[in-house]
This record gives sequence, C-alpha cells and structure tokens, in this order.
Amino acid sequence: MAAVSYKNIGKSFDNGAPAVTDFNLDIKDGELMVLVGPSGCGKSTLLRILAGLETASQGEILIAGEVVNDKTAQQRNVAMVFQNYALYPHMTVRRNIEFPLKMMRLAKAEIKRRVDATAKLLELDMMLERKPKQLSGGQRQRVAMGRAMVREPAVFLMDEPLSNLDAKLRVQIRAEISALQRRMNTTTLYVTHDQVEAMTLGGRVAVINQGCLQQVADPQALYEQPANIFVAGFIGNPGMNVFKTELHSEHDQLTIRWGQQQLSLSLDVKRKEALQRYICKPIFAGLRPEAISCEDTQNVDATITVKVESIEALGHEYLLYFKSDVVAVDTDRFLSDGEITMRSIMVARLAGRVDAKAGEKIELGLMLKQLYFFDEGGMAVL
Amino acid sequence: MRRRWLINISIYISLLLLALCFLAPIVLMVVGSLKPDAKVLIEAGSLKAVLPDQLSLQNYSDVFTRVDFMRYLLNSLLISGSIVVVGLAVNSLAGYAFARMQWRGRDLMFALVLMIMIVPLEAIAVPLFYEVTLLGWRDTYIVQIVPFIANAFSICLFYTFFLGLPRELEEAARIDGAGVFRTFVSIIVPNAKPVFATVAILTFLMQWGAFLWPLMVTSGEAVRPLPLGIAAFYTLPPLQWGDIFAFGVMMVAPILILFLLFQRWFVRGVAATGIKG
Amino acid sequence: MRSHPTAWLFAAPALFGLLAFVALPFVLAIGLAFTNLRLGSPLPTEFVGLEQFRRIFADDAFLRALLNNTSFALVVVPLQTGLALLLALLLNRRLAGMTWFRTLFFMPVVFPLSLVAVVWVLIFAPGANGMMNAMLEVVTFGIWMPRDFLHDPVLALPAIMLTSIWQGMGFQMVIILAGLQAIPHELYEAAAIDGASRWRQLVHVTLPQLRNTLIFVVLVTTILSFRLFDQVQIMTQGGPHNATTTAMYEAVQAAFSRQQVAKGSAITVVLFVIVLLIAWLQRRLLRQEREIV
Ligand SMILES: Nc1ncnc2c1ncn2[C@@H]1O[C@H](COP(=O)(O)OP(=O)(O)OP(=O)(O)O)[C@@H](O)[C@H]1O
Ligand SMILES: [Mg+2]
Repeated sequence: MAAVSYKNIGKSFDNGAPAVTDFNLDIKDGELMVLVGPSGCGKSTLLRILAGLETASQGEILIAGEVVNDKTAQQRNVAMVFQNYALYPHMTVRRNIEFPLKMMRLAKAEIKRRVDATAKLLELDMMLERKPKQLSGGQRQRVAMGRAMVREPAVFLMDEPLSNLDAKLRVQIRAEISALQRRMNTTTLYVTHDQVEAMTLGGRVAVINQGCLQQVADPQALYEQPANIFVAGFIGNPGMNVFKTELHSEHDQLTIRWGQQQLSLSLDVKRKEALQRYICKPIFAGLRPEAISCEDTQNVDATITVKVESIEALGHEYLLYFKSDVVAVDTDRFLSDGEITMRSIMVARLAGRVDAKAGEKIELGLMLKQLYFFDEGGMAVL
Repeated sequence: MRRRWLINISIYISLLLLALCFLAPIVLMVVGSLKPDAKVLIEAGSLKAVLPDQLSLQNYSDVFTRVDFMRYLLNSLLISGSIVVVGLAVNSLAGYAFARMQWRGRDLMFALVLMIMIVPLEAIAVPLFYEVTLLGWRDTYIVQIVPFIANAFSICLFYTFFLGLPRELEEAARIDGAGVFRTFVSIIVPNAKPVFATVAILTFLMQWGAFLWPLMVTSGEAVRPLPLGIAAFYTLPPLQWGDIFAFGVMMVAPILILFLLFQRWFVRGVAATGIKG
Repeated sequence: MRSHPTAWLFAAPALFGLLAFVALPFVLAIGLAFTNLRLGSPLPTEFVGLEQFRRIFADDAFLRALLNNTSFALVVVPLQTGLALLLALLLNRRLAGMTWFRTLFFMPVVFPLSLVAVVWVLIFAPGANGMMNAMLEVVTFGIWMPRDFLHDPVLALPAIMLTSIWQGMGFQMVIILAGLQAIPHELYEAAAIDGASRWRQLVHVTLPQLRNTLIFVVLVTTILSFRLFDQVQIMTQGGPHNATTTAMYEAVQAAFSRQQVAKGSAITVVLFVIVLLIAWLQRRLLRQEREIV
C-alpha cells in the first residue's frame, strides 16, 4: 500500500526528442489511476520510470512519500503486467507465479500457500502445471496478473494488459480487474490507449498527449468539463466537434458565427460573464456529436444546412459525417505544434434513422446550450 | 510423370555413387582396424579391403599395449571439455553484456571483438607461442585450454541470439526482484538452449581436432591430445596399419557418437556459421 | 538504463582472454617481425626493420609455399564449392532418404584432420596394392601405372587437395543447404507461374538468392586454404622438394625447427594480411549486394 507521486518528471531518450515533459501526478493510496493517450504519447515510458526500468532525466518519483529515483526495480516493490505478459516460457504456471516469491526468499510453505490462494482467486488452479504455451490468451493474461498480485506489491502497474485479447474477453477481464483492484485495494496504474476502456474502469483518468499531462479527473468530469481541445476531442465516442468561430454581442445577446449565419446563444449569467472578454475575437467552439440532432426537438435552438459525406449505421444509432460552412479543427493534432490543422469534416450522433445519401444537403438541429468554448491556446473557457 | 520418375532415379544413383566415394575411406578405416596388420596394406587395392575374410579385435588391444591410449583420450577429453564448459560460461556472459547492458567502452570493445573474429590462430601462433614460453606454460594443460576459452565467434553467436530475446522477459524478472546475475541464470540461459548447444558443438568439434597448437607447445606425451597421438603412433615403428586404424576408430568414436545423437544440432551449428556471413 | 556495475564483470573474463591471447600476440607478431629474435641465440635481439620480410620473400621455400597455397585455393575452392552446391541442390529435393545422405556426406567433417590425413596416406599407398592406384587402374582399364602419390612432385599436392575436399565438403554443403532452405517458397511459385523451367528457376531464382551464402562459403574456404597445415605435416612434411610446403608449414618450421621466432612472425604477418584482404573482399562483395537490393 502506498501513494505514488510524479514530480516534474522529464525524460529524453538518447535520440533527443523528449518522451515526457514536466509531468506531475499524485496517486492516492489504494487508488486506481488510468493513464490514457494516443499511441506514442509516453504512457509506457511513465510506467517504466515508476517501475525502475528507465531512469527519469529530470524530477522525482515518490513511492509512499520516499524518493525512489536511485532504487533499482527490485527495491521498489512494484509489480507489473506487460502488454505481451512476458511469462517465462520455460517455467510452468506455478513456477511463474512463485518466481517473485522465491526472489523474496520466503519459506516454502508460505510460497505454496500464497501461490495456491492466488491461483484459486484467478481460477488458475487447474492449470498450475502447464507451460505458458499451452494456455489461451485470456489464461496467460490471468497468469501475468497472478504473478504480479502474489507478491502483494506496494504498487501495481499494468501496461495495456488487455490489448492482446479479443473484444468480448476484454470487456469481461476489464470488469474482473476493476473488481479485483477494489477488493485488494492496491495502488494501481493502468495504461491504455483506448478511451472507452479508460472511462469504464472506474478510477480517475489522466489524459496524456505528447508527453504532457492534459487533465486528471474522473470519467464524468472529463466528459463534461474537458480542460482543453485535445481532451474534448479524445474523450467521447466519437470526440467533440471543435470549430473556429467569432463571438459577437447584439443587444446583450451573444451570438456566434456559423458560415453566413449568426446563431444566438442563450447562456446562463456566469458563462456570459466569462465570455465577455472574447467578444469580437476569434474563439474555438465545440459541440459533441450527441448535441446535434436531425429531429426538431425542444432542445434544438438553431438549424443549419450541411452536406452529407457518409453515414455509418451502428444498429442502435447512426453516425452522420458532414461538411458545413465552418472550419473544423483536427483535435488530435491541436497541441502538437501550436498550429491548427483543419479537417473540415464534422460528425453527428443520431438516435433515429436518417434517410440521406452522400452528397445530399440536409438540415440539422444544434443544441447550443451544450456548446463549449476554448480560447486561442485551446484552453477551456468556463 | 514418367520423366519425373526417371529424374528421381538418376538423382538416387548419382547420390549413391558419391556416397560410396565418401564412405570408402571410413569403411577402409573401420574394416582395416579389424584385420591382421599385415593384410591391411596388401588388401587395400582389392575388394577384400571392405569384405575381409577374418576379423579380430587384436589391433585394439595392441593399441593399448603399444601406446598409452587412455592418456591421450583423457587429455583430449579434459582439454576439449574444459574449453567447452568454461567457454560457454565466459562467452555467454560477454555476449549478454554486449547485447543487453550499458557500459562505458562497450561499442569500442565490440568493434574489437568483431575485428578479432577474422584473426586466425595461425596468424598469431608464433608470437602466442613466444608469449606462453615467457609465461612458462609450455607442456601443460593450461597452455592448451586457457588461450581458447574466450572466443570472438562464440561471443557473436550469443550476442545475436540474446538480441532476439524479448526484452520484457528480463524486465519482468527485474521487477520480480531478480538481480542481474540471477536473471541471466534463471531466465536467459533456459531460454537460450539452442545457442548454447550450437556453440558447445562447434567448439568441441574444433578443439577435438586441434593439432597445430598442441604440436607447438607440448613435447612430452603426458599432456598431448589424441590428434598428436595418432601422428606419433603413425610414425612409431613398426608401421602397423591395423593398429593405426584401431587408434583412429577409437579417436573418432566419441565425436561420432555425439554427432549421431545430436545430428540436428551439429548441422544447425555449422549452418549458423554461414548465417553470420 | 544506467550503466551496470556488473556489466564489466560479465564481459571482463572474455575480454581479458581475447586481449591476452589474440590481441597481444597479434601486436607482438607485428613487433617481432621487425626484429631478429632467435630463441637461444647469443646475439642480442635488435630492431632490423624490414629485413625479415626481405629475407622471406627471397626464400625459395616460402615463395613455393605461397604458390602452393594459391594453387590449392584455385583448385579446391571451385571444386569443393561446386560439389557442395550440387549435393545441396540434390539433397534439397523432398525425396525419401535425403536426411540419410546428408548425414553421410557431413560425416567426414567430424573427423579430425590428423586422422583423415593418416587414413588417406594409406589410400595413396604406393604400388599396385594401393587403394587409389588400384581404383585408377580399374577405371582406366589397366592403362594407369601405379605411382607413389605422396612422393611424386606432381601428384603430392593434388593428393592433399583431394583429402581436404573429402573432409571439408560436408561443411559447405550444410551451409548452402541452410541458404537454400531460407529462400522464400513464393519466389519459386512466382517463377513457376511465369512459366520458368526448372533450369531457369535455378539460374534466376536460386543462384541469385544464394549469392551471399556462396560468397561466404567461397571466401571462408579460401582463407582455410591459406591456413593449410595439418595434412601437410602428417602426409608429406612439405616434400618432396617443397612441392607441398605451405606458408603455415614454413612458419612452424622457422619458429620451431630453427628457433627463428622473428622469421616465423614475419610469415604469420604476411598470412594475416592475406586473410585480411580476403575478409575485406567479402565485406565489399556483400555490401554491394545490399546496395542493389
Ligand atoms: N528506448 C527508446 N529509445 C528511444 N525512444 C523511445 C524509446 N522508448 C520509447 N521511445 C519514444 O518515446 C515516446 C513515448 O513512447 P512510449 O512507449 O512511452 O509510448 P506509449 O504511450 O506507451 O505508446 P503505445 O500506446 O504505442 O504503447 C515515443 O515517441 C517513442 O518513440
Ligand atoms: Mg506503450
């Protein structure tokens, strides 16, 4: 049991480009913290720095309040589940699981007791004498979990532990891991690049991009109050539509420009005040695909005409990709170089059936109450 | 269909003919070792060379009475065995250090190893002889073992193999609390059996036949290995071919048995030398 | 990963061995070659510059040795490689019993050269009773007159060549076989679909794909040709009249029979330069290949 802190952690590899910059994160004792971000953003690097497999170029790592930068992996008492499990191929399941205990020089009887208990918990007791080659992907995954759990480590690290499994098994084991973590109450860092996985595990989520922490919050808060354009676009399925616009004020009524149209906003007093500074200035606005509708419900407070690009039927809902008169922003790339990359296609998530073909023009309703605003630097305006 | 059949038959016939040529010297040796000495030379040109009319083990017992065969055999086993066993340990550790550890001077040292790989023993035999003379090592086992333990080629074979092992295995072991040495022994070595077998066999093959170096650095029989034994026996009057062949059969028997048991590994080991090209 | 304190410990024994028993003697070889060191000689050892090299290149026996090494390479390398390639191609077909043949052809490789040499001395025994003489007589329908191969100035070197081919062919064959098996099967399928005959497949697919393997095999055998020693020592002792002497045999003679360590060193330096040139050639040829691909 231990709290973990990253303090101003930076890491550059020999080839120069920094993989992690000025990273700060506090994980409470017994907490499940999920690190999520696109491929190559530095998640594994962060985990490996904590494990002692890489050394940080700057900053400090604290486990249980103690700086561990100079401690080796063995001395840190952390356990890790690797993406490809890294089971020892020449050892049986039992030998795999008991290896860390042997390294701790525990008594034989104690080793046996712990291995059996862990095997039982993970329902591995029937296959203790098998070699990893003779196991299915899901079983291997559980052996890797077992090998990490059996030591009762201070911190539990998992680097994309489910990415080698099929979709169904992934959902199942995800739930198991989450339940197990709550039961054992061990501080856990869980890395994934899949935002759905991140949101459903139930712990706090840290969103990372380009080696920088973007936001730490629980899943609901990430969805409802994204701190910046990257998080807005990354969280959600699909992510938020963000576009460039201007804010105007007419007769104490705020409006934004959508192509030739001026759409008037009905916002509460607090948000109005926050937005006063941006009047007549360029600003980014964001609208979730869920806030666009093709039916004229009462939440809709503006209508626009768009050109249909394509439609994806998902069974229970439809994703409508369209082009409109605004410049949409490529949210994934927004923070990388400070420049805006345009992608011009936006998406709506529609519950009802749409009878439109690619190339046709249709009308869509916007729920402008759910509009988000971001300043020129991409930061949320609250 | 018919043409195919003809082709296959002709392949078999040519292979058989060649095989006969390749087998003849071996058969000559084995059969010769079982014949009375006088008959070996006389019958070498006739069919009786391979189809003898009388057989005996007399030559084998003669070998033991005429020279100290056991001494040569034990010397060879001791020398080759030590080089293989100690060499495996020393070279695999070095290969691992080059493949997986960071240390000052690593790249420089590795360049040196690569360069040393092309230096044949023959090119340094004379100064090496001078060096061991200065060390006072002449006529010992040490002089036949120690210089050949470290082997650049073996290091390279280990290096290549270790590079291909998944890094996560070692990282998992480190996190599980194993030290560097423990990781090497418990995790790396068991997963590197093929390369250990390859190196062991290649080394043994080379050392069992070593001739030039022992000839240079030894003079008495006490520490000389089998290849010098057969050369000496061959010049020991009276020239008795039956005895010589009996010696030869006993000399090649250990390695031939090894070969027939671990054929696959021998062939793989030799093929591995080609891969490095 | 930070620098491991144990890394040096891991590498040290091997590095020490290589430095002490390869690198040091190698440096010593170069050093000694420029002196007049002679074991047991009352003269003081002194630096003599290129004198040793001048001497060995004025020495008929050494020149003959280099010539012998070269002719050995010129005959053995193509013959042995050709035979090994042929056998590998035959054995690469999926026919019953091929592993048996492979075992058989490979067997001589495990025979120590000293033993091989002794056995072949008997094969080359003089007189009509000698195996080789008898066989040649049968093959030529009695025209062949028995010869004493190993004491014949013309036939002694070819006799050693044959011995070496017998022992070394299996080694090359296995390497080539491994090369053949590494050729992707799709290439043959593609060629077959394009209507290439077996022969054309060999010329346009197999041989180009085998290029690197063949270069390796050829150059290794060439290097081995310049290291020739064991067979000569046992079968002919360099004779008759230096007809079978080799560079290595001369070096050993100089250093041991005549205690001329400096001269022996000079010869080994020359030998090393030759090996280095061949190895350099190999690098060049292989690099060229990579650029083409
Ligand atoms: N050993 C290394 N040497 C050099 N660069 C590296 C090394 N390891 C990682 N990097 C670089 O550091 C960056 C972060 O890599 P990291 O493995 O942490 O990404 P990740 O977020 O785990 O990605 P993924 O989801 O694909 O696993 C990448 O740009 C990568 O190229
Ligand atoms: Mg990763």
